[in-house]
Amino acid sequence: MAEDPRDGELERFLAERGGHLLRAAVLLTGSKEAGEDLVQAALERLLRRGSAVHGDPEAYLRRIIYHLAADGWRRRGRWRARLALLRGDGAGVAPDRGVQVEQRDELVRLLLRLPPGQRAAIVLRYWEDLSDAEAADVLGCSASTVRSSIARGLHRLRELSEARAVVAADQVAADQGGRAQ
Amino acid sequence: MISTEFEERLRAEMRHATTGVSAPSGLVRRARRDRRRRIVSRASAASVAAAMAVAGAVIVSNGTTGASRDSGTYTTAYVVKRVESALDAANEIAYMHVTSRVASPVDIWAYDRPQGQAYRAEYFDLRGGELYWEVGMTATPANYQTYINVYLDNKTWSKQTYQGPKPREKGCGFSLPPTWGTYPEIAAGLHQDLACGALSSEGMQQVDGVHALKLVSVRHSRFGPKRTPATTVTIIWVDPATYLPVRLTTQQTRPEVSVPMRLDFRWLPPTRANLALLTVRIPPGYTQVRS
Repeated sequence: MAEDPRDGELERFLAERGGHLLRAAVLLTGSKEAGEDLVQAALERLLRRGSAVHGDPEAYLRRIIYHLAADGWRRRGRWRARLALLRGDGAGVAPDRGVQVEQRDELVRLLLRLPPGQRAAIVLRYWEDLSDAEAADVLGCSASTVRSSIARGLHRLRELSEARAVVAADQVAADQGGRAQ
Repeated sequence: MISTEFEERLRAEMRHATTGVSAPSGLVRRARRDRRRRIVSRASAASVAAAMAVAGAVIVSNGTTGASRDSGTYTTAYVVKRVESALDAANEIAYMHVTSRVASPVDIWAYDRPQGQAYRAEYFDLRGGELYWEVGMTATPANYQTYINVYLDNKTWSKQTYQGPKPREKGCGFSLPPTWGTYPEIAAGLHQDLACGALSSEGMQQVDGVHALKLVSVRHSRFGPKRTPATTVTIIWVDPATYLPVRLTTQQTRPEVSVPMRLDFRWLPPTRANLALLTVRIPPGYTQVRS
C-alpha cells in the first residue's frame, strides 16, 4: 500500500512551522527530546483526525500541544518515569540526555515546577505573546482563568527564584567561610 | 505584583532556551508509525465494542422491528439478547483482522480466560506487508497487565507491567482508554455509550459467505473543550447461527468523516495450537530494551 499522500503535505508544513511548535513544546517539557515527543503526540492526533490536515494544521497542533501539556499528559504511559525524574530533580529539569535548557535559563527551568496549566498559560503569554483571550481560546478555558493562572504562576516563579537566590547566597557564604578557615 | 523586569527576564530566557531548536525531519513518519502501534488498543476496543454495543443495546432498544428472517422477524432487542448470551457463553478465541486505508494491517488474537485477559497482536508494514512489531498482553483478574513487545525491525524486545484502571462507573459517552484497554473497562464504557446512543437492526447481508444480521449503531457525543458534536457510526454483522460478530466497521462521520476501520472476525476453539497463538515468543539473539 502507498504512503498517505497527506504525509508529504504535513512534512512540508512542519519544515516551515514545526520549529516554532517544537520550541513551544521544549518550553512546556524542559527538553528537546520531550518536546519532540509532545509534538509527535499532537501529530498522532492530527493523523487520527485525517482530513484536518487540509484545514489549519498549525492551529490544531498548537491547541493539542498545549492541551496535552496542560493536562499533564506525561503522567501517562512512558511519561510516568520521566515525570518522576522531573519531580526528583531539585532543579526541576529532567536529567535526560536531551536536556536543552541551560543552567543560566533559571526561570525556564523553574517553569517545570509549576502546575501544567499555569506553565502552559505562561508560555502562551510570554513566549507566544498571546492575549488573555487568545490564550484562553487555545487552552479552551475562560480569559479570567488564563489571567489567574498566569498571576499564580508568576508569583510562584518569583518565590522559587528568590528561594534559589537565597540558597545560592548561603552556598557562596559557606564556600567563602570554608576557604577562610 | 510581579515586576515588568521579571517578566522581561522570563521572555528573554524563553527566547534563549529555544534558540537553535528546529524540528527534525521525519516527525510525521514517526508519528504515523507510533500511531500504527497504538491502533491495537482501538482495534481490540472496537471489537469488544461490537460485542458490547450489541449486548448493551438492550438497554436502549424498545423492540423496534428489524431484520427479517425466513421464519419471521427479529427485533433489535431479540438480536441483542441473543448476541449478549452468545458472547457470555463463548469460549472461543476471538481472531480479528483489522484493516484501514491509512494504518498498518493488524492481526489480533484475544481470549477472555477465567484467569484474566490475554491477547497478542501482529503489525504489518503498510507498504511492504512485512511483520515489524508484535505485542502480547496478559492481565490478571485484578487487571494487572503485563506487556511484551518484540520489535522485529531492530531485533529488540521490552516488557512493561501496569496496574490497569478500574472500569468506569457512570457517565454518558464512551471514550477509549488512553493506552491499552481490557475487556472489563471497555465493556463498562460501552454500556455508558449505549445508554446515550441508538442501535437498530437493518436486515441481512452476505458477509464472507455468511448471511449475516446487520446492526447499526449511531452514537452522538461531544468532545474537546468546546464540546464539539461528533457522530460515530458502527456497523456490526452477526452470524445468525452463532450470534457472534463476523465483521465490524466503525467510522466517525461528524465533525469530519474519518477513514473507516474494518475488523473481520473468526472465532477459534481454544485448542492447544490456538492457545499458543496468544503467546509472544522472543526470537533468539534479540536484545531487551527499556520502553
